[in-house]
Amino acid sequence: MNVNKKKIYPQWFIVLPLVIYVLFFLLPSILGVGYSFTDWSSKSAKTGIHFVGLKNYIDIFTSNKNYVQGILHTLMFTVVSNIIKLIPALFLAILLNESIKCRGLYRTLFYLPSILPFVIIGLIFKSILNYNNGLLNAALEFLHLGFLKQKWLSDLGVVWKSIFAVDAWRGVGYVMTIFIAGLSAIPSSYYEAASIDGANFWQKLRMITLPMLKGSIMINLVFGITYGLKVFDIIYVLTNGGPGHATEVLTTYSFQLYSTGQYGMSTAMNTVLLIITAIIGVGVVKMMSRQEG
Amino acid sequence: MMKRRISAVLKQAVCILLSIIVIAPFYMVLINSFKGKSEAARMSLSLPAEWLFSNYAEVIEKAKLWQGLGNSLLYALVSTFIGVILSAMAAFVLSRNKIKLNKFLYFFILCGLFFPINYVTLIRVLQFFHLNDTRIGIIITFTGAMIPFCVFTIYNFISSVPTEMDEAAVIDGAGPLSLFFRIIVPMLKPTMVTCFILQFMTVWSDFLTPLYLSSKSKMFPMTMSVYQFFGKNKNSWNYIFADIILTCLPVIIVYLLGQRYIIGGLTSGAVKE
Amino acid sequence: MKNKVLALLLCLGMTVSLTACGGDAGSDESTAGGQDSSEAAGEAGEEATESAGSDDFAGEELSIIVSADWMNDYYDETISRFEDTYSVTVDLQTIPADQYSDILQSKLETGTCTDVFWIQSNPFAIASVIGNPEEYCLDFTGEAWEGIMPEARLSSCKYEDKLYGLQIWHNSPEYVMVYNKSLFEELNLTVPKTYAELKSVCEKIYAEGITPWFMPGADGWQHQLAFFQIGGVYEETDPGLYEALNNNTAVFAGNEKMLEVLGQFKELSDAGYFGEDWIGTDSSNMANEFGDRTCAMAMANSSYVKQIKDETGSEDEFGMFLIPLGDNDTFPTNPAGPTMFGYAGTEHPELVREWFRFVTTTESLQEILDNSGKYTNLDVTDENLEQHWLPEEEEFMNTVDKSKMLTPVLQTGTKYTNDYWMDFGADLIAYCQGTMDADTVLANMDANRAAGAATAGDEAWQ
Repeated sequence: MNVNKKKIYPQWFIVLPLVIYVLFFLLPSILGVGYSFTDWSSKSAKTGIHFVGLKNYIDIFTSNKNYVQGILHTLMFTVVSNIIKLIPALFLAILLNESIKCRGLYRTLFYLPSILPFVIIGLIFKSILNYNNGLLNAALEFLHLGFLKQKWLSDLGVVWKSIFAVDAWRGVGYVMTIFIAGLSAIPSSYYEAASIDGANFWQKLRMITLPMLKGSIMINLVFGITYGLKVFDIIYVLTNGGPGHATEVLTTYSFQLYSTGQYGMSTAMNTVLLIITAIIGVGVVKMMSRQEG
Repeated sequence: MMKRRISAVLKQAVCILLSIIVIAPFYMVLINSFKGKSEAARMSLSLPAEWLFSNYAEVIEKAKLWQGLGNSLLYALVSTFIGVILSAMAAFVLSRNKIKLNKFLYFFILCGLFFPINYVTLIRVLQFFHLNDTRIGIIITFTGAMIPFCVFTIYNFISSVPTEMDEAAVIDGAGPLSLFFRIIVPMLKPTMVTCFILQFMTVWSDFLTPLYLSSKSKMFPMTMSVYQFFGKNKNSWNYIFADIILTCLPVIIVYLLGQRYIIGGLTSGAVKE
Repeated sequence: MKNKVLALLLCLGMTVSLTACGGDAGSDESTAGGQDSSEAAGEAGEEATESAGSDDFAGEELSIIVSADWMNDYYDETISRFEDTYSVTVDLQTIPADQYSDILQSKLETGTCTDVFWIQSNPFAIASVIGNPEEYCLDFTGEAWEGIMPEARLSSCKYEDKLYGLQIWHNSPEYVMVYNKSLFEELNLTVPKTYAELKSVCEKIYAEGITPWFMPGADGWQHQLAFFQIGGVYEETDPGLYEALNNNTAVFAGNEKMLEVLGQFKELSDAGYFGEDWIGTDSSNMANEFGDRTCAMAMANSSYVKQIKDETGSEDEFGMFLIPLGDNDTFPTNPAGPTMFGYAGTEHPELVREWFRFVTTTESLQEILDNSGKYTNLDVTDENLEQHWLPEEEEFMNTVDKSKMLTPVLQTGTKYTNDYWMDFGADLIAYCQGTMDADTVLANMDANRAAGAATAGDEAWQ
């Protein structure tokens, strides 16, 4: 069987993608990580780049900036944004996998937000969420719900909720698309059999859908976690870490460092992020794959 | 019967409500793309005082959109097509032949999901291969960056394709290539198309990579063009919006075309069962 | 099944090849378009062609990288005249503003820069932004065009007595208070000269249901202008402050005048004079706010008056006055501006030199000024240039004493300050929201400047 396997699943299938991946993605990224141990900066053109060991990493945790809070915000964003995207997306995918009218149209519509560039999302939502003449507050007034009006992007107690909402608006369709691909691989005969046995929606969900969807759930979870930990654009365009520093995450700090020429420090910050992401990501994959076996 | 009807109506109601939430901002972009500059800056939902269809013609000319469109399509289609096929081949072997080496390689590739891009070192690597400042360099960079995503996704879907089919095909005398392209790819179509759609969009909206990797504006993608209309205190919102509508269209078309294969995959799968 | 796969592959193959063709066709078209416009503009340049009579550069391409909003289309006519004169092409690459410095940096670092590049320069920027001018910049020392720049601007173009940059920028009042004169007259208000007067003016306007001072806090880069543009007043209160800040013998923290200004800023914010939600409001609708009379004042450039009228058709009269926080009476002199450099690694240095000479001819300067629509003047010493000062500008400039124009604004008059512009802005908002105290805002600036100095290896900080 082993000989047979080598023949029908030849290793050379892996070679080309592996080479491209290693040379044009992994290698530059790993070389980049190397910079985090140097004093690389805008001044290096003149003074050269020197090895400084772990100095950048020590600086991160001893700086006057609240980088630790940035890490906590990043983790918080990751948890919350995934919960509010994955669960609705799963039900939407189930809904749009049934033979409901216009489902093709709905699938396309719900996917639409994720194709808009972040700059545009930022400027549209800054306008919609504006306190005085924004669409949202106007709609609330119109519905006689004026008491719900908020300073959506500047009130410290509300700003994160606004970011989560806009992020969900943008991201649910993307997650849904992956779930739909997963659902379409479940043979409909399973459901038919379950229906004959008199199973209700929740029983079918628990006994058929969720177990069969494990692959897509893991994919979405890993992508979601990676996205959450690396989150930058949505915050950059909506609040740029503000008001004040209320919504700073690791990447907004790293961006500031880079733009002030502290490249080495900025790469160190990204490397901290990389390590956190890789540990959590690989952990999730290992855990979910083990259950499978 | 009555119950089913009510549930159908409810489902439609949910979908329609969500559609409105999704569409409102798009409607805002669309309607304001026909307005004059200062009228558009108000970003209201009202109809334009005067319909300026000419905004579109002006954007196409000012932003050299045809050239950008050509570049964007070239980058996105070629890199995604190659990326998805190569990843599917790799994922196929990795998941079907789970020897130790392959298990390691799977996680090795998976790690790519977490690494951030470093453009300075990327340029250096491309310079080493004399690929900097070329379209091939840009395409291969995109392909390299999407391999972790695609391998991971396809790997996790491939288990739903029964191995009995491989054996049957091999008994019929098929080689690995024909097994892969004739049996596996058709079964994996919904997954591969999903990957294609998602990665097409990722490449499409990434204007930074081509910007770093090219030194000529001839090679800039379409998504870059919108920034020409930004400026301190003097943004031309009407042009920005018209540009956005035009830039989004190709992605929508790809999604609509891809849709069929995802739905098609479902029915063909069901028939075989 | 086989057919299906084949069909799919074919389809994709066709799309790809079509795309490739589409790309070519596209670029053809655009070059054709470019030629059309250059022909139209070319007539004026014909004489120049003959006199220059130089085909040495025929077929070469001059590439320029620039951040959005620095050249816009003002240079288009000059560029096409240059193309015709030397039978070359110019590839102008406009980069989104927030990505520009990163991209330029990586291009310089990897040796892939365009022939000409721009930076936002100030007297310290060549050292801090470019880092190593000897290696990256063409040395223009001795070029005749050095003479067209006034002394103050030259300081942003030279490094260690070598000439590297060309700064063609306007000298209009930048970020002073622009106000609705008609509205002030109707409400019987006079221009405030002190903070106390400003407060009472705000109070009266606020009572009319109008936002007194429109402050686009969500932009993140505008509101802190109120603190930095009045740099002259800090220097006046504490003579020698700038020099001390640059020698690291003084700090921001604890500076009483600065604390006073911050306190006033917060007071106006708390009173609602910046608008009910200024922190969440950006500037996209600012011109309309003026046009609709929903706001009375804002910090802006003098040319903004024209923009309001052009965009909204407002009939009101507008004017300008100095930002009166901290009882400021000094003018925001700013020798900073987008500045053009030649890249030392260029393949055709002579063509680059020619471009700089070409841009600095009176004819080109006049073209740039006339085509800008935004500048009313260019700050050059060329006497043949016809400036277009606005009556509002002249009126305003006449109100300012020349002795109040000597100190540059704080962000460019002191080292490393401008690099932490956004940071300070965020801190200022945190202060207004009560999550940070005023002295921490200033102390953070000191810490940031120290980090900047360390990066630059500044001896005064070691």
